[in-house]
Amino acid sequence: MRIPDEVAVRRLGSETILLNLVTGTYFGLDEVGSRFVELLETSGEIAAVHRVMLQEFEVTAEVLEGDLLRLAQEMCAKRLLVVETN
Amino acid sequence: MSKRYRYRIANLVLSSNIVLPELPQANGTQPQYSFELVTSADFPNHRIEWFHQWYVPFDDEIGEEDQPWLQFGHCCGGYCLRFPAMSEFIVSHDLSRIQCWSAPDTPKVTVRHLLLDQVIPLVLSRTEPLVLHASGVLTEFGAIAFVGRTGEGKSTLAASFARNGFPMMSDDCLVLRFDRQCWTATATYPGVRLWSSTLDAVLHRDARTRQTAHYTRKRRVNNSEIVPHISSPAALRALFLLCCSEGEPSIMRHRPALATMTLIAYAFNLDITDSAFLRQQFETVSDIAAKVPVFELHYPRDFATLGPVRQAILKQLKETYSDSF
Repeated sequence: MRIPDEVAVRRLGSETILLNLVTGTYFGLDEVGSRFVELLETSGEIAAVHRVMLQEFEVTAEVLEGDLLRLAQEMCAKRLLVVETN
Repeated sequence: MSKRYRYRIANLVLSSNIVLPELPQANGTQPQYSFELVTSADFPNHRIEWFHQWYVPFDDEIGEEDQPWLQFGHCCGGYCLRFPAMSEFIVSHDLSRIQCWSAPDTPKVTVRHLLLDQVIPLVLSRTEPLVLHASGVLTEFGAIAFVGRTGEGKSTLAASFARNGFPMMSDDCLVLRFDRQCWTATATYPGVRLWSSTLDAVLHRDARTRQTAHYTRKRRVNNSEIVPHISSPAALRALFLLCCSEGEPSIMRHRPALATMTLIAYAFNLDITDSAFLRQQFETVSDIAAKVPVFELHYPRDFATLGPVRQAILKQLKETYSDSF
């Protein structure tokens, strides 16, 4: 998974804003979502992101997995995230 | 060759083939922009690729609902801005030259209003870091901006401040530039446009006013003795997003992320199809939101509360900058 080139990303404090330059859609992320995007930009794999975030946040593996998948689905629906197929 | 006149707008120089009484004159300075009102019976026959239009919320002064107020097009490497049934402005590819063709029944005062209050801000949006749909006044802390949709009270609030010792910088458009490590605000030109009810409530009843445009009853006040004005740039210290509500005035600070997403809607943008420009504008607004406090101001639309609203704003500024000044 990756942020497509037509999406601008800006970190502001503990939050992140994404702007789809084609659709003009804005999307704000809180601290957890910001960390998700930050890790995804380096690893590209949601499983790897899950492993790292499980160490950083006080949450069970199942809850975190559900939250990350929901966030990823929402971002894909808004064209702020794309799934890369090899 | 027709006579050319030179004027100041946003600390830049505009030359024009018609008199622009709304603007202060600029003598002996090379113009960065030129304007020409073309006297021709026919509109030009350029090939235009329309890409955007503005619709105004229903307003019985402007016209019918669902009719476009302004159409944006790519034309001859530059832009076409068409105000249907009124005027068409062609902006050159380097943005320095603006030509206007006007319908015979469109008064010159309307052409000037469209040029100064719609076209110029849009042109500047491509050449300046950020052009904001906002009014502004100068306080002891620096410039503050009031941001909001048409009808939210930007001009009224700014005029109210100006009448109480805080000179007005702008009633509708502020140019933001980064200078000496801080964001500054610069007005486009002096004056304010107000409804007659606001003129009566905030200014003198007998203040001399001029017509703004043929389709609106708003009146233009240019007299600096009635509405003190300052044209030099000032450090931008706060932005207030105006929200009408009942009850006591209240002010709440926005987090930078929310401030960015809110402010960007009030930035002039001549070409929404230019992704690179949109990315740059996003970065600029984010930077401003990170460096300049942005507040949401809730207040009732009642002239009697303007005094308490001013006091609430000044109190907020004191609290924000008490350690700095």
